[in-house]
Amino acid sequence: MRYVDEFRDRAKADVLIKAIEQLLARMKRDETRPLQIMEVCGGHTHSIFRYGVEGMLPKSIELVHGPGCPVCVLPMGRVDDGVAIAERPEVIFATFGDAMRVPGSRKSLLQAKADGCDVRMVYSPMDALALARRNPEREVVFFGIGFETTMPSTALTVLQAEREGIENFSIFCNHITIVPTIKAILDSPDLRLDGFLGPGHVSMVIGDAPYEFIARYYKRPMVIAGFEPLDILQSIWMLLKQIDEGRCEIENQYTRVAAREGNSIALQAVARVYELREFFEWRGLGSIDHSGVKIRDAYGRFDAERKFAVPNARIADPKSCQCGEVLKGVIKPWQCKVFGRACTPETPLGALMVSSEGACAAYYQYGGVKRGRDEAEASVA
Amino acid sequence: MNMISFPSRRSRGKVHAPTVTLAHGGGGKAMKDLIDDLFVGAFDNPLLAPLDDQARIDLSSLAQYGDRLAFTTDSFVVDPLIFPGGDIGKLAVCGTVNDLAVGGAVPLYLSCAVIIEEGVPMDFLRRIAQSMAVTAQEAGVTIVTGDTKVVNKGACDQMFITTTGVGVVAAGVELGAHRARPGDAVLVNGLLGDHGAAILGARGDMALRAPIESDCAPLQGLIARLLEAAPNTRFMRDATRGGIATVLNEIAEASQIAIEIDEAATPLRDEVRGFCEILGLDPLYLANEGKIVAIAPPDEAAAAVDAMRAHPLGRQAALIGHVTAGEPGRVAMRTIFGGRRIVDMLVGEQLPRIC
Amino acid sequence: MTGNSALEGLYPFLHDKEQDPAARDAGLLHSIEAKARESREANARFFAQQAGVLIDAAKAHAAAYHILWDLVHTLLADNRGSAISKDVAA
Repeated sequence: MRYVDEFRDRAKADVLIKAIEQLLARMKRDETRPLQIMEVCGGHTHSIFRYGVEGMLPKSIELVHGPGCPVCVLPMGRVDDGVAIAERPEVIFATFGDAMRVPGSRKSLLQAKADGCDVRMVYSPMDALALARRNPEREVVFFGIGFETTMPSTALTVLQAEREGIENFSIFCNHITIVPTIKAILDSPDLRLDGFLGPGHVSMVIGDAPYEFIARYYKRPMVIAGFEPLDILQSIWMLLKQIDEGRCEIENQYTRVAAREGNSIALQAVARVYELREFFEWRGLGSIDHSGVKIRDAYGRFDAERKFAVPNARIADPKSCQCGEVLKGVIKPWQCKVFGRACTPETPLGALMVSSEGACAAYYQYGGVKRGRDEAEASVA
Repeated sequence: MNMISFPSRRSRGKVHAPTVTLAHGGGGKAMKDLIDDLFVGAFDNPLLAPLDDQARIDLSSLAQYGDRLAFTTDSFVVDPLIFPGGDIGKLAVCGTVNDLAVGGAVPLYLSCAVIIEEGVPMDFLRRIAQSMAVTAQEAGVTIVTGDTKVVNKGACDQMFITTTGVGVVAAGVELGAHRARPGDAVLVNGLLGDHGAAILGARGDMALRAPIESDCAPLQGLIARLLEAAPNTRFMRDATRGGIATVLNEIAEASQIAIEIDEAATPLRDEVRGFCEILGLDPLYLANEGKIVAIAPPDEAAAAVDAMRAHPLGRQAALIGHVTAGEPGRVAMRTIFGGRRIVDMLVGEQLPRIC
Repeated sequence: MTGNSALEGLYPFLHDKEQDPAARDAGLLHSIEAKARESREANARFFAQQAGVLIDAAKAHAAAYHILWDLVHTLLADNRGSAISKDVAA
């Protein structure tokens, strides 16, 4: 397949792995612990597991799978609110596929659908708007989730609905921003990360500038990375090179998609439609200041939270969950007390078991259970 | 009563209504006309024609094929009912024929029970019946008995079909999921995931119009060639729901062995790969309706692949991996990138990813 | 509206650090003064309200100290030099 296979070339992978090994060999670093690199984005996590990238890397590099899976970090209370909206008889609730399995305190959207709610899987908010056009007697609510990547398409859909004068369409807005969350991770006292692979698709929208503080104030290097396995290997190499040369910069490996200045049209649509929330609750990480957006007053009639009264209850994460520690790289997924026992992809307790982009689900699906057990046994012996 | 006493010369009813109504399931003339016109007409054969409550089959006619009866049933619900490369009728015949064939049986007879929602256009029903008839002929099976029910609007989604099949296993053919041994070859008869991708594409809710056709096909011919070329084949299964990933896990579990497959050797159509790329799906879990996974001993593997490739339904047959002595029950894949990952049972249904 | 101002709206914290140094220092000074004032007031309030209790506590403390002192002397005298011998502990 053209434009895809080129980025999965095994021979090129071997060359990069060698270069990474050489760099590590000559690098001055603390040999008593592995270099910890966080890939921020769930898309990276998925690719890393899908292609077995982790197993190809030298043991002295440890990948920490970050919080960048918008489905995973959606808190139970918000799912409950979504289900409550979906349960209204007049509502067609349109959602991305993988948001359907996220557990709420009562049920997931998938269960709500089984119980008779009209929940439809769509692939774009524009599909949801088309549903509204086709069903003028119903209320179509789009479950707006995702980071800066999907925020503009939801905003543009609201603007389109306004232009067309469609009144039976609204957004249940759960859009969140990844940048404050990276800051929250950097602020945590148990932080051990040596560098970041930056979220390529978010960067396509916001550009490089918002990450500058990571290098300047927190002295951690970042490489904005693409999602193919060769992208990831090359980005790791670029990151190691920075560490080796004592540099600390925001570099961009994904130049074929993410421009330095971002996408100003997308950003303008975002600014027109949304305003920041004071704080937003993240599953596994708790409340983070200024990390979510809501729909501005000017577009209030497209805001499902105003249109329909929602319970808006805050539901605490299950106590046994250690998602926060996994997200910060303090423990590995299999070191969590409930991993693979009470918490499985079928019955996820924590955020990271919810979507295939979540670190725990990826480990569970692609072989981490075994690996984890082996390592645990080895450390006991 | 003897079927010979009912000559098939009796006059056949004819349907005139444009759509199916509850009357067509009421047991009266309307129902007789529907069955006569659509089903008996299409399935035309002396065992069905008398329309008795059962088909009666001479044991001696069965015994010529082997020494064991194979017997299976399956229900078919598919949305949409007509999709690129097939329809629910073709699917209902192929599914049951293949379930018999992968057990080493020669498929012989089928029953067909249809549940129809009132309001379904008669032409549509006729098309499905025709499709079943053509596929049955292709598969060398006879549809010998059946049942029709019409239900209220909303009580079913247009049409459900259940087929039950009878076949005979030749003496000496011994297949079982528990018979895989380290060193055995893992084979497939062609491109994977076509049916799953075709159905998802045809539903239209992905807003993707990929030119992918279902691989829906009866495999008894191909399987017969395979068993001639590789008589010690350990096991076969058609990789329907859950795709080959599910079948491989079932074999690894039943035989308490490990399986390692090679992503680069796994035959996939570019369109299916592209489809999966865009939606974030894994083709190993996509359904097939004309693909089998076969486990063959090492010394027969090459002959098995050649035999399948010589058949029109196995042109892209491939050896995709091996049975190994690794951790029992574990299926792993060497990725095209050179990494290794576990291929586990699917949890729930595959849902497209957001980014 | 430009992409830049949109970014400012989205990530206000990134732009906090770009403040004018004089304004930042003034803010800091204000914050320190407020903190110091609050601390002073809390102290004063506490001692004003709890004076009686504090004096009683100090007296009790002193009395206890005298009792302890007497006890140690008695023990040293009994034990001829070792205040931490097993006899004493027992």
